[in-house]
Amino acid sequence: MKYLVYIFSILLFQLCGLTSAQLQSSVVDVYSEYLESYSYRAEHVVTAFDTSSNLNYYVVAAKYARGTRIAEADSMFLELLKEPRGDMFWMFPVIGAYLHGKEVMAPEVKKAVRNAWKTYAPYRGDTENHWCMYYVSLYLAAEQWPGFSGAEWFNGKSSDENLVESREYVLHWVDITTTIGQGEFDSPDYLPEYMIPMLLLADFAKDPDMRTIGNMMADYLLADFAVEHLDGQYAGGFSRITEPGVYEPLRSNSSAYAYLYFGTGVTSTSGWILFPALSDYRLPEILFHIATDRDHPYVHKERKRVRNVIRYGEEINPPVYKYTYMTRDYALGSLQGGILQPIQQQTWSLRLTAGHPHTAVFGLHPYWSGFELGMFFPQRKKTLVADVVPSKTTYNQPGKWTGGSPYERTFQHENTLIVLYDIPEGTDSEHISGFFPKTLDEIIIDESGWIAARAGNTLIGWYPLRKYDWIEEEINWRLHSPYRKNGYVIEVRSMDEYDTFTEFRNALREHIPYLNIQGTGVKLTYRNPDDEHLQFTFPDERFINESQVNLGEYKLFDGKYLQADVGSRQLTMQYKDMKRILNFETLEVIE
Amino acid sequence: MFRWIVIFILFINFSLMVSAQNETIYMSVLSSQKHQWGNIENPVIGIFRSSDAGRTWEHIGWQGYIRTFYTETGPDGTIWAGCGNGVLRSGDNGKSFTITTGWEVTEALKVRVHPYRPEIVYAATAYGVYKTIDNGNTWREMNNGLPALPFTSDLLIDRYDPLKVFAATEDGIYVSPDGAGTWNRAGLKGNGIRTIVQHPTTASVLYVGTEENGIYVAKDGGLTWNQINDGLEHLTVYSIAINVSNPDIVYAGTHGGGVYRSINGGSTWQQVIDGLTNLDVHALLILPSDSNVVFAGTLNGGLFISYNGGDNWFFNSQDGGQIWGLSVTTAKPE
Repeated sequence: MKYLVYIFSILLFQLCGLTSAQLQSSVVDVYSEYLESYSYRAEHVVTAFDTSSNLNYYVVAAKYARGTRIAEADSMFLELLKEPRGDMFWMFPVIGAYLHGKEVMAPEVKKAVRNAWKTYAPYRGDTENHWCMYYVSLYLAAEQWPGFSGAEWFNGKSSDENLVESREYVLHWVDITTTIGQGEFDSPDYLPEYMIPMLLLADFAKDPDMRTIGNMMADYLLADFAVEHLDGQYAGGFSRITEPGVYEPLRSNSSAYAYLYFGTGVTSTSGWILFPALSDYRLPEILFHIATDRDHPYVHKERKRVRNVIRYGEEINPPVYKYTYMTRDYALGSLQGGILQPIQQQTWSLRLTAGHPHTAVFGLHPYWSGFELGMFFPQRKKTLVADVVPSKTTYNQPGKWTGGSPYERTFQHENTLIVLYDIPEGTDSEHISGFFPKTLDEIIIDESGWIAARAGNTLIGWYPLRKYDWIEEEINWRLHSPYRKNGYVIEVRSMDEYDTFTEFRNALREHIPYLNIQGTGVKLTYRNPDDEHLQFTFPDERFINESQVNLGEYKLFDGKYLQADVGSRQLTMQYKDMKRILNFETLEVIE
Repeated sequence: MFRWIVIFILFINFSLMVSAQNETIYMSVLSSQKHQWGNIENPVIGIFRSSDAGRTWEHIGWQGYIRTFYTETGPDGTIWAGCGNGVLRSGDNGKSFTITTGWEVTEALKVRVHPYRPEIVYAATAYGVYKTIDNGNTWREMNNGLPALPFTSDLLIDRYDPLKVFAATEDGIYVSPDGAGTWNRAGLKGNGIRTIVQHPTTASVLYVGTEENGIYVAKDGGLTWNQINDGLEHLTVYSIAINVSNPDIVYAGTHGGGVYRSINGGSTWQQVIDGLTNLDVHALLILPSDSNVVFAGTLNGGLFISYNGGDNWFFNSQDGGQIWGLSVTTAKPE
């Protein structure tokens, strides 16, 4: 018997070894296959620009990089440089096109590019992405033209001064991002404004440390995206999102990145991925797996920071707490609520893999004010709304679909989300709105009060806490509830958990939230279908099974794939037996 | 009819007079509904200058849209401008500009040059106070004692004691006895202060305009403040200008109410808006050589001028523009 056990153990050991080796080989094969398909996608993007006759810097860069249409690129570049415009949105494509073409472009084009950096004075901007683009571009330009006096630069500073200042800012941005988080975090629309500068640094910085920073921050930004990526979509709550991406997620710029780097979503030839497609940077294998393995649901938490608060607040960068529940079929995610970013915040969303193109369910209090804008912009608060509306046209519209509110708070536990509102009387907009796309497969307003819906394998329950109107619009149903003390409970489940939609509805019926709006407060008590007892008192008292939730304990990243402590300057990625650590203290990547 | 004849005569007198003056007015145009950032048209905003009392304006900078909040000239003729991109300096009368600040300084809302030592300049910014003592070669953050969010809309250097500096913050007035080295609270806690000015002859008299509570005056150098809003029906006050020839005449630029005028040092106010088609007045300037000539810079309505001390206003320039700053100098570059 002893021998049998011994022999069996050896066989088992060999079997395990074989399986492990096979698995490893299989993973390697997957990555090789990934790299091959990535090359195909990148090629597709570059070709689209190389063969284009549109007059823009992306086309110029592609032609230079390919090297087959140099004269055409020269001619286009000269034409474009006759009238520089676009500020930091001008800076990065110009320096990018120059760096891709400087070895082959005609001398007069080189001269024209140099001259543009002397005569055109770009605005530095007023957002994090503006500064990132401005200073990375200025850094690369200063490296390219060393030893020039201030008279040769638009800002009157010498090459050395520009190099030092821009390097300092880039290092500051990296430091703040890896210690307290990005301010313009997780933006489906503004991801490229960070990725492109980092990739230009990675590809072209002469300083090896800056190249390393470019590569590491590209990893960092893509890790941040990958862990909340659902079939081409960015998931959860967002600092900034615009229409139509808010209800048609694959139209957001980040989806072009999902296409290029993860091979998901829809084919894209967006200009926002031209420089990435030209880059030598390759997504690390571990991030490909993190972005695409959704076999098992997981909770992922993050801490970010509020964009710089310059007034009407207590501190410059209060924390943002983000909670996301990721599954194969859906992602439910939320920020804690309040004003975390002006104008374009999305406090919570449910993203779906079914029901294209409108794969999002969400709600909000449509809020706008000079107070909100004045927190972040230095102009006069009484005229700020009017200043903003010409460029952000829906900002002061009661029917808008983006924006945070000081009168909105969330409480999420796995796939249950509670959202409460306490809107003061006299607020410009006193109602709340809910967005239900018409692309949902089924939607039923149940007599229990639950609105039950299904999108593919995803089962959705929405319990409005107050009466509401159900309004049909072009692409969606709008839940419009005019009560100031208000809220709803969201339950999302998979068909794996319930055999039928009817069974899910029956389960919801047995779980009715109790809202208490007596006195001045708004309080909700609720036992969810998983028998978890949740209590939420507006604004910030959250209990799970009588145990108080402390959002202050959130790390920068906390989940099965990503880990980072506040202040750590380090990100650890983990996938099965693969590990990758980005250490920004030492500028080391450890695998 | 008689009124228009009088205005015409005033204008002719004014026109004859200005050519003899040595005044240069600087106007800072922050933005314009016609020339917004991102507009494909080349934005014609920024710093404008007039050497003929506003009859004509020269655009001197910057080449692009950098959000110019305020421009001021030092006693040596150096031009300083507070901008989104930081603090600009021109030592060649506006032919070229240098950004003197680094990445730390942004949203510079006001610049104030020391009245006697042109190498000392203060900047009021959305992130507090910055100071240079070497003509902009280096800048230091000077927020010791200011609120945690030290947003500062304006600064006042006491003309008679230039080490004494006042800061107009979102949480009241602060005063520094040591050139912004340290700050102490000087009243009006809880008030967003938009502007602070000093009486032209009596140094201890200070006026401030607030975001919500109108105008306050201190007659003891800033120790005690009294609200003086009699007749002032619009309590958001962005700018205050005092007539140097007759300091009892004071103007206030308000949000929504245009210009108010007091002829008794602020004891009572009267709205003077005839012809003023935009009532959000952010900047005011009285021409030193002729105190009947008053400029009003509006938010989104451009620049207006009055030739009779505010009784009537005429559109001057910058249609649709946000005029954030007006200043005047007789200094010429050395």
